[in-house]
Amino acid sequence: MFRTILKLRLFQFKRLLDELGFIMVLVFLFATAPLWLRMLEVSLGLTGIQIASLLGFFLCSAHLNRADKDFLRLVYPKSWLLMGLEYFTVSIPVLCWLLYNRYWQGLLVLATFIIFVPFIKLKIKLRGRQKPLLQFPAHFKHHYDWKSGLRQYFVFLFPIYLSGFFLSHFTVAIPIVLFLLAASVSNFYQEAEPDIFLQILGKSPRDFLHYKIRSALGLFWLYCSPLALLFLYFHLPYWYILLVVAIVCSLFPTMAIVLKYASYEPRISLTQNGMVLGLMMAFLCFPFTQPVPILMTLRYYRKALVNLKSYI
Amino acid sequence: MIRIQNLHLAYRKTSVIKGLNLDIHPNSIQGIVGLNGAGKTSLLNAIYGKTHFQEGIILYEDQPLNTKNIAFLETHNFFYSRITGQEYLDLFKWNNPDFDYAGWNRLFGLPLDHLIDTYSTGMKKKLAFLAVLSLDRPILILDEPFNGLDLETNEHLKDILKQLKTQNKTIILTSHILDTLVSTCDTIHYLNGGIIEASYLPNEYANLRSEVRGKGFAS
Repeated sequence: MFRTILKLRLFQFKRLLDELGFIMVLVFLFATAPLWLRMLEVSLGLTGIQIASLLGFFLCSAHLNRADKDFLRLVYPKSWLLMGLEYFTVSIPVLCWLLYNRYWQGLLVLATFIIFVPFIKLKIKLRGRQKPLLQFPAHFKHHYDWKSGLRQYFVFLFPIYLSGFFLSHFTVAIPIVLFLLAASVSNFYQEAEPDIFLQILGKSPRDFLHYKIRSALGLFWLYCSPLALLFLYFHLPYWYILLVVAIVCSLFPTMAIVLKYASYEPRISLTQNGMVLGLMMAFLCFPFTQPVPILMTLRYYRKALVNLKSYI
Repeated sequence: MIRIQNLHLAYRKTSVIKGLNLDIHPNSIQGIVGLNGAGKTSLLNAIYGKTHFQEGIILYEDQPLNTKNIAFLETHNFFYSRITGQEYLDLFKWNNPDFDYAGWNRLFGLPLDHLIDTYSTGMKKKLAFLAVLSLDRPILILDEPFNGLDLETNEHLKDILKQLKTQNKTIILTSHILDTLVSTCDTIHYLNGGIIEASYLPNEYANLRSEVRGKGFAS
């Protein structure tokens, strides 16, 4: 059974290579890992342990979100072995990099994550609640992605949002909070609605795309403008930081929307876009790679316009 | 009238529809039956314009069929997680603000203020059907509309379909349960081998039953 599942994984990977162009981005990311890791180390001053922990938390998040855990447990009792092998494979570039640089503690941290993450069996359930806790005002009426996303991530988003107010006297707090909120909002665009949702608005592909971007930015800044104002109140001399953060935070949802509709097919899950989006966000963090996500956004914008013509 | 001429549809090298011809009369309920994998959903997707076909033409009133004339209820319906039934229907109000959702829902009894995630399969089907109805388009394509419905709603749905027929709607539906089609449809087309092998009128339904008996249909 172990071999069968491994073979199945290889077939799935081959199909991905056959069908999805974006996988090349991942291959590129994998191949250039030492360069990125070095950049993380130098630009952000991260240590080996911190980089290993970062990947460890990424593995945790991927593990908690993967939908095939129950299936694997059903067909192969030692599913932890298979999942551990997968996490090991994904981590090879970082493991090699840690080994090469003799970051033994980082290596130990990452190895611990790889070994123990497959055993996590945490499930977040609705707990039988039928009526939603969170109700929305009228201006949310047609923003199904926001309603769904806010209800899903409310537990994480609300404390982050509040912490922005409480910690506003620290210069870095509000920029970080805005950055985290914008990155989270981008996750709202990882489900593809049925094409009828697109058609009922009665807009052309261009108008539809502009409407989605406009409304996402409108909603984001409507609720985040108090934080921005608070930043200006406490740290007016650093207004330029807020300007940069505002541009970056506006880019995140824009990138998520154009990427979604560039790869849109009715009723499919677009979680794989999260990887490309993550990569684009990473590019934004380094001064000399910042034009890359902007160019990618333009490219995906054109692709989205072409793709939407098939559905609207 | 919807006229399908010489329709060919293949997925890579697998041919599913092989030169299918079919005339669908207006203001009628047309059933399509066939074994699993016969190509019923592919045919419906081709009519809706969701699947590209390699050859053939589909006309509606002598013009190429436009998707905007069709309301399509798919076998498996998609709902955004964590939104309520009412919020889902609100989306469709953009298209038809005068549609009486509350009136129709008295028939279905859906708890519209509840999250759709907590609905049963049948309730989800009813909600999707309500949305499809609100589109108010001349052609309704319903893929397995009776799946998951309770007995009472099943009967309601049959009555609604008959009512819609009198409102100048053309309805195309599929079902694995022959009895539901027999009691609803004006014509039933038997899809086999990528073509419509035979079409049956109500007085010929007994022949249809004996034709498909033993081929895997529930009755």
